[in-house]
Amino acid sequence: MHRLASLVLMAVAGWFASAAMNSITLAGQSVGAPSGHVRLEIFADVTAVVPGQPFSVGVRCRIDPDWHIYWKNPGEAGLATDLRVTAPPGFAVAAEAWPIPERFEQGPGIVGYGYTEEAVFLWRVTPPRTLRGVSRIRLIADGRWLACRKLCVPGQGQAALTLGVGTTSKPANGELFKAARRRLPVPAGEPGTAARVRVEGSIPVSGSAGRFMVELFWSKPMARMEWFPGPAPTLEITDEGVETEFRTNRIRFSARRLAGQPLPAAPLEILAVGVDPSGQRIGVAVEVRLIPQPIKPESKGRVLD
Amino acid sequence: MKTSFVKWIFPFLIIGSMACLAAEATSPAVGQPAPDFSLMDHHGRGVTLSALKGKIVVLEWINPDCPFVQRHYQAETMKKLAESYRDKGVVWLAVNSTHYMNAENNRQWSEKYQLPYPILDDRDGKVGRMYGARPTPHMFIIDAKGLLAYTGAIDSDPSGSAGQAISYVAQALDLLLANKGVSPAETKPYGCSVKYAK
Repeated sequence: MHRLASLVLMAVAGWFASAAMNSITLAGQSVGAPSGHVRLEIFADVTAVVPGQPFSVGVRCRIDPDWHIYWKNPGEAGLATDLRVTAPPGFAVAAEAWPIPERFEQGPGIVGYGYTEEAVFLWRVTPPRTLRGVSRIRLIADGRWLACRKLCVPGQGQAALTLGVGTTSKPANGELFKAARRRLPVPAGEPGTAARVRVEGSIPVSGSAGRFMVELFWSKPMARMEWFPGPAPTLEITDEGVETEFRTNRIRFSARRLAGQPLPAAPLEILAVGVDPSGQRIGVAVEVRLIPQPIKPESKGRVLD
Repeated sequence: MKTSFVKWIFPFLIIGSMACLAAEATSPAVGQPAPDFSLMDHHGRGVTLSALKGKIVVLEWINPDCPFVQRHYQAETMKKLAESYRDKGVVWLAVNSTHYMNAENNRQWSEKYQLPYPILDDRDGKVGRMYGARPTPHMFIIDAKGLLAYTGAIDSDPSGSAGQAISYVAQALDLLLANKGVSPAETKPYGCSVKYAK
């Protein structure tokens, strides 16, 4: 019954969206009743879909005041938010990096990583080269999340956006995408990146734990820094500390392989966030290889410039 | 030693701050003795861990308000496990460290789901902190010698959407009962944060 009601609502929302298309369709709203303290909205950075021309889609989570949802590593409690965007067959949809999260205490010593107020997630959508006989397409955002304040409530929702197909399009929602991109981390070593990064440490093949140091040389002085270890279900991260020395930050932590668990083959992704004196947060994604790597004799550690 | 001392006496070179963010709640290590405790169950009867020596004991951190706990109780995950291992001498104890709950809340939850095991009242959070219980459910298995044999998640499926979850607790109990080493002995627990008293 509920499902039927949401289908009807979806159809109605779709009709409104297409009715508005003769002007410009910029944003799709939540479909169905909002649940779980979060509302979804979906946006595109173009006014129309042009065959073969990639565009961006943003999904904004509007989170009720005082509530939070979780990053891909929720921390010591919580659940990673699960958002997906689907497009018609033939379209390629690729998620961009998760926006920079915040750190919060969920009780004494129980750390959590996530979002408050709002978070915008981005996708890159590539239409097929030809879209013969298609006059409009529908993009659907699907979300499942755990929202917490004092208590936690699971939620889910959908938002849909209909875009016309044309031979040309204009940019749309520029400010929104600009603001969203400012909250995305950049990979370490990308040209023009805010920081040079050096990583030291490894877990010996015969051992279960290792001490790591990630050093960041920022291109401008930072007022303070934060860091977030990425998802690592078979590791325990402990004894973390952050030092700031003018433009240099050092993140130190120990990583221990949980008993009876394999060492992850993939590097541990960590997110280093510098907060500049104006309060702007700049995130650099760093890959930390956990097992020993052959290093060049003249260098200690690895410099990812 | 000397260099590190020299580094320490020049803190004025270090502009900014050093934050030590060591987690407060650290679980006892697997293979180490499980900390002893005495708590009241929801009938007002005392339960002492050391009195159960010789038996395998499962500790389950519980909070009836937590959706992860609710999902597992609706699916009877804990109840079925406790029942199927009871005949093999395994003792199941749920521990509620939620600061705003009492024996009456625990009794109601036990009645609602017809639980074959007691819910212990740890509303001051002492035992929870001693074990480093972080989310609900957080699971601990203690072997017959009183050593911690497993700590972590109930299963491999935090979101409850995998369809086929590996029950880490059943796996650990089977290995213990077969006198084999528990592996994995540690997994990452998932759930809501334990609502400790401040």
